[in-house]
Amino acid sequence: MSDEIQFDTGDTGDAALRMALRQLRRDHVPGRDLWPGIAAEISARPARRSAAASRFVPWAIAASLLLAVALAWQLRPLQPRDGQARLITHEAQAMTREYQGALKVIATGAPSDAASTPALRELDASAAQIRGALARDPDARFLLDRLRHTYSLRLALTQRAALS
Amino acid sequence: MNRLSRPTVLALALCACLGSPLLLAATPIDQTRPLDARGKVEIDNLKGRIQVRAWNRNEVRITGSLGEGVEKLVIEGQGDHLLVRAQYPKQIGAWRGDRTGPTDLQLQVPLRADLDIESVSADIDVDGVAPGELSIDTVSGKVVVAAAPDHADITTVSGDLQATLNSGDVKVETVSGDALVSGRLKGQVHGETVSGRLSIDSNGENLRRLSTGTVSGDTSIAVGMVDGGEIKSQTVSGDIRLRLPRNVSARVNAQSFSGDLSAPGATVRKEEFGPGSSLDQRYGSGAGEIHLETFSGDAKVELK
Repeated sequence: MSDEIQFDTGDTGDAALRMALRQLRRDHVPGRDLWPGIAAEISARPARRSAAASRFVPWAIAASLLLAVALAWQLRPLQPRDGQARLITHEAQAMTREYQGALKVIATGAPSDAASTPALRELDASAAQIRGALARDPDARFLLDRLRHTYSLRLALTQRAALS
Repeated sequence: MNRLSRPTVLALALCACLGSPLLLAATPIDQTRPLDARGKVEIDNLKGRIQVRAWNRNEVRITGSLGEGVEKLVIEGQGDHLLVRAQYPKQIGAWRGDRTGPTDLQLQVPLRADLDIESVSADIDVDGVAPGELSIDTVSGKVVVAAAPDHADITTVSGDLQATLNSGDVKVETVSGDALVSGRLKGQVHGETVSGRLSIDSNGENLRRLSTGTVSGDTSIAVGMVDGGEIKSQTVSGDIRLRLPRNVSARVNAQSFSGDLSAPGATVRKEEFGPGSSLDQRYGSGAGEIHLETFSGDAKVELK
């Protein structure tokens, strides 16, 4: 390429490098006065822009509004309903973890076939049903009560099996 | 006299060997102990039957028969407390197979003596008593009660419960057993099942508070309410049917995720987006509060 800078590797290398760098910084002076053309271009451009903008203003406003609504939706403050749903979901998850831990401890003393008894199977199926319902309707606090009750029964009956 | 053939003799001997334990199993019981009129009787029988009747004596009479393989009948205490327990070998229980026979306990108790009855599979039949406290707990036994206790607490796992109670404070709970409670119910009633059917009928009496809960069991309620009373009924997938007197004074609020709601005169509101519906309706001056909640079950209010 013509712009490629060649470096000598001899004693005169430093001087050649300085010359090359100096050439890089060299300003090119235009052959004629460019300003009148630039000034004419600037004075003509606003008229064309205002015409184009007038066509896009309604769309721009609509897009801005849409964006604002979308942002407002995303950044909206948490409604009580959302907060409650989140709280119930966390509560159900925590309760399930505690239940599973407790069941693991209690079940070690119960007969191995205790979990297959109809009543305990019924409770397991019911707990699964409630968890499924909570996943679909996390606002329903009463489902949390049902889940708590079902877990309590399951633990109590497992403990009874362990003690019998 | 004809001589018996050898095979016949052997067969008879075999029958005698097999039959003798069964004959010996029916060990008769007949014991009587003193008990205060307001004393407490604890009864514990693993399998067979427990029958309790009232009489006008300050005594407890225990009759019936002890099952095969049962170690002994334990009778302890006197005065204000008596324990009656069929003591089975320790290696058997509700969750383990066993070869012991059923024990039939029949008790006559002072009319107002408190009762605390436990069984595993033994059916329980209580009739004509009026204790301060009536407590019944069984796993798979069927429970039939006709009594007038101040407080009743009846729990089964898979056993069905049929209770006729004149009482001001009732609590019933089952897992898969049906719980049918009726009688002159006043004060408060609490009923819970998992999959069992739950039915509560106060025979026209007004309750102060009623709460029920099921997972998949249907709930049927027919009660009146005192002014300021409260009814709360919840179910996941079961149906709720609430029958109220036509002159009831209460505000009804019902909510469901995907079930159908209905109440006389009420307009059901549907969620604008997604599932969910609710209704609010006032009857009379709206003195009481009624809350019905379901996930997928239907809830229906009727005025009769």
